[in-house]
Amino acid sequence: MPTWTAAAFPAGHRVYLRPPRKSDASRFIAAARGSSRLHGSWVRPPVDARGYAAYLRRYAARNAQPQHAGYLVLRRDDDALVGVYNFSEIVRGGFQNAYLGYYAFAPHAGNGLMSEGLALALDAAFGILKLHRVEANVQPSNRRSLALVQRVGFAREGFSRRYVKVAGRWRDHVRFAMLAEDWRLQRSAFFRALRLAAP
Amino acid sequence: MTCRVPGLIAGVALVAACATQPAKLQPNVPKVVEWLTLAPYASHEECVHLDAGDRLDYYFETGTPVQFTIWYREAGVVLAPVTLDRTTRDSRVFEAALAHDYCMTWQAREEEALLTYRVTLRPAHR
Repeated sequence: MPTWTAAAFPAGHRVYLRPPRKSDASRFIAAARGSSRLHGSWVRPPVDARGYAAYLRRYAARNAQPQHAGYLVLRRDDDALVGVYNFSEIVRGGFQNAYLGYYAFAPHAGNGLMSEGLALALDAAFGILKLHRVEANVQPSNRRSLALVQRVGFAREGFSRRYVKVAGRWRDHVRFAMLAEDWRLQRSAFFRALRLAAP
Repeated sequence: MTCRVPGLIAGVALVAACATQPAKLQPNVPKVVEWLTLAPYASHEECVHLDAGDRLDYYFETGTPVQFTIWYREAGVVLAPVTLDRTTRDSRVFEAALAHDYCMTWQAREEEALLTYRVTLRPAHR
């Protein structure tokens, strides 16, 4: 699994990940505003400067044991902003768990770039953040998101009624998880399925 | 450039010994080198000037483990922001924090290595 350095970001074949920055604000906000139809009632990314600043405070800070960690998915060829993966509420001790949140931006949904980005994000979760478990909770009607986590190999663990309040309503979620040992076994097969060699 | 270095020398000193003048990589044009043979303990370099924010987008693989370094000189000191020991493959986007002449160096270990790489200079958005 690739390691991480401050200056060199692990890359797949078409995308790479790096932490968000202040200088990404304008294009991030533009991409989020342009994706409101795609995001529907499933996610609420920041769509103004204040919201983006709050996002940065929460997800861009890095120390040895961050409580949250966010990564932008960027296209390798032109640095286009493809989407976001966020690990939140990281709990250490005997749990070593985080919750995964994510969204693509409109021009890049459905072209496989987020799948490759998710594989890199899992590399980061288990290789850099040293987590043991990543949980992804998806609304049952969000078919694209369900397909993404299942394609990468998350195991379905259950169904939680009225689990999270999103856009003002309590919403049911299907609960998935990936364990570090699962990912070690599945990683190469996943990259092969994308017809790519594992980076 | 490929150079052969006798004996075992510490990695940073080794890359300094092999330093070449920076060559021109064309922006956004991938340079691809395939099946380059590195004799035992020989090294190969790819050097380029990067301004702050410029990126080196690279991928490489070798049949046998090599030491891979991205390094630059500052005030006579060799600094290596990326060092991977005994690796056979890597794929990253390296972003220069400072303007310098940077070199990527692959050094074979005790076994010959066959090096294939692709590197693209991606200028910063200015």
